[in-house]
Amino acid sequence: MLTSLTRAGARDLVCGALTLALALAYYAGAATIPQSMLADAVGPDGLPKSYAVVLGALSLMLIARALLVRQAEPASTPVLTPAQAEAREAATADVLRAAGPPGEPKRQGTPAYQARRAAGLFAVGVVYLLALPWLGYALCIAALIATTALYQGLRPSLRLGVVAVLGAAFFYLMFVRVLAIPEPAGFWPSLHL
Amino acid sequence: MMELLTTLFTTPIIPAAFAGVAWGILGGALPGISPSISMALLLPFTYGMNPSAAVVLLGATYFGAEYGGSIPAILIRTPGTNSAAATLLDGYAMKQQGRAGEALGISLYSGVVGGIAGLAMMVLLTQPLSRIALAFQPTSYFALGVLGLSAIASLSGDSLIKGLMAGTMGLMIAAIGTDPVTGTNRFTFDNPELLSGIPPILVMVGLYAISELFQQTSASEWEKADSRSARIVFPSRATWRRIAIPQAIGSVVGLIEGVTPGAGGTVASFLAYNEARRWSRHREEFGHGSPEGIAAPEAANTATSKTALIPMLSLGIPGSNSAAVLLGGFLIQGLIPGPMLFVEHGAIVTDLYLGLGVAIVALVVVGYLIMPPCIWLVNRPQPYLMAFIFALVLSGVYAVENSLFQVGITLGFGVLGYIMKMLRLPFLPMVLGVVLGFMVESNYRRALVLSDGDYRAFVQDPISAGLLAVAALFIIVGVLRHWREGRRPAAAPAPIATDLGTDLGTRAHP
Repeated sequence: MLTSLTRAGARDLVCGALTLALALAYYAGAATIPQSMLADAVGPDGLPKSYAVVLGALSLMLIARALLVRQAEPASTPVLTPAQAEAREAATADVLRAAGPPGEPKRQGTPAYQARRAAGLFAVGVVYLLALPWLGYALCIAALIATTALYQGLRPSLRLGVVAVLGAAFFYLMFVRVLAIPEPAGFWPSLHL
Repeated sequence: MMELLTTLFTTPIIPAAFAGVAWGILGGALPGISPSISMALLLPFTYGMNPSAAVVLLGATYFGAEYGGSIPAILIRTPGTNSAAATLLDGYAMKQQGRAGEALGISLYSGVVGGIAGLAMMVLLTQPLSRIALAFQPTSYFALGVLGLSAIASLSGDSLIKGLMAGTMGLMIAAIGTDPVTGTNRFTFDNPELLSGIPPILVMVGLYAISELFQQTSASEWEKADSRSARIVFPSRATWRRIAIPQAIGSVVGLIEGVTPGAGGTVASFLAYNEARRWSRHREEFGHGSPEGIAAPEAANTATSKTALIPMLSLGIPGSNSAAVLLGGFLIQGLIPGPMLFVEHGAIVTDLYLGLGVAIVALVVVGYLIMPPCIWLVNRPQPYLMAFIFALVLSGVYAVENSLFQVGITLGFGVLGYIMKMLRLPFLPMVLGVVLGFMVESNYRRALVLSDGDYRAFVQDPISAGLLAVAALFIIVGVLRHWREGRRPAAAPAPIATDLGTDLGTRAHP
């Protein structure tokens, strides 16, 4: 049964399994919510437990659908001449290819490759977050701009360095000076320069 | 009238409207940046702003972005927004015929017409709807929240189950923090930064902006625009005569679709395209450079950008991703959209109307001026654009409460958003759950306390009973629609625009 799953079915199976695990974990967490003397009939744990139960039930429905429902056969199409069929197919494919919505950009590589690429950018963000209290905003934002651009395929160059520095200066001016946001200064003030 | 003029010139409404339109056009013109992302990027900056300026800025951004999406659709065959995909059908064909300027002009002025129609409807309908709210009690507020959540049935795209799952996960996120009745800590893991829960802005920025950046890491570069072909041409008299009826059709479709939760600009633009073609005397030109094929969808999607705000302002129920982000903007300012907004902050609503009116004028002015920088920006190497947007998002989120923890939370929601996209889980139901969860739970429990645990209170209150009945209707209609679509075998090829309308309209609601 598992080997006959379509791609959509496999995706739904994974989705259902993940959300079922989330529902179980959430219910377990809700069960640890302390009861209060001020509690009403529902209590602080009432709705969280209900949400977990609903999510669990929906997850099981999705898993069942993924395992049991077959895709429908395509309906019979109207009879077209070969030239008409070819023209319609070309026109539809052409327009559909061009009209890809921005939420689903034309992407390269397999899903695993795409996920690795996304994980890489996430890692860049995490490193920025960890370095920020130590190295300060200006330096970190310049490094973030440069690293992201390099990660996206630009070659190291003087131009990239200049863009990163100017970009950092712009962000520093905008956030720290104009908007007066107290971005982390890092260890630099302790040097008493 | 004098009072309105005084307000216009003594508050920052005019600069906010112009800035919002400019930002929206730039954001909409960049493939991959939807109106909701353009607005989400601005959210952190609205902290500390004048409330009127903040809401006008966000509303004008939505309006500008709906037009901005047509620019790359016409010039490089890549819609900047979902709703511009309908404009692409004839817009790019006109560009290939050397008529890009004409196409851009039709798009711009049809956007103005749609915007005027949408604003008029917004002003006429919003306040009367909100007057009912003066009689609201906890039972009514609970029912209102349920009505908002019931929109999930029509916002779930291809899968009702997945929409409900996403909505439930949103409610689960909303439960994090302090219990609204007893003050008990829930899911805080002894972290003081979670005591006040997870601000909806972090969820929205993470889901919309950061997950999109993660997707863009493996996206191909888009085609570059030729700046020489990008001068807007004012439509001739003959063209105006020809596009008048399609603009009217587009405006009407946009007015209706905008107030319907889940419909949004994409569905409106394709419906308008189909209707304009049905009523056209030059049907054969559609798809090959018909001015009507641009006028109708552009009028529709800008009308929608106004009328989609009606349920959000009057009832506190966002019917689209962009309306949800605007709701976030209101919450940042301490304004609660919905029934009490007109009572407690009526002046700000008036300022929003004024600002959106100024935005229509701004669209014409900025539309001409911003074309060269717009083309320049679209032609920048994608790595630089991504780097700057990533820096902007991370800096902006830190600015919310000066918290690195919150930046981490936002990155986490970016990961969640990426996984949701892979698993085809829709975003908007989750956002609805996060935004409405507190209202639903707190009023539900409050109502039960007041009625000594008697559930009949929810139907004895006529407003609550009415809202719950409408919610039930939404759910039944949504379930029936999904059931019918599930039973229908894969359809024979229909007219291209209808195919695209059905296909793209059920995806992300801009």
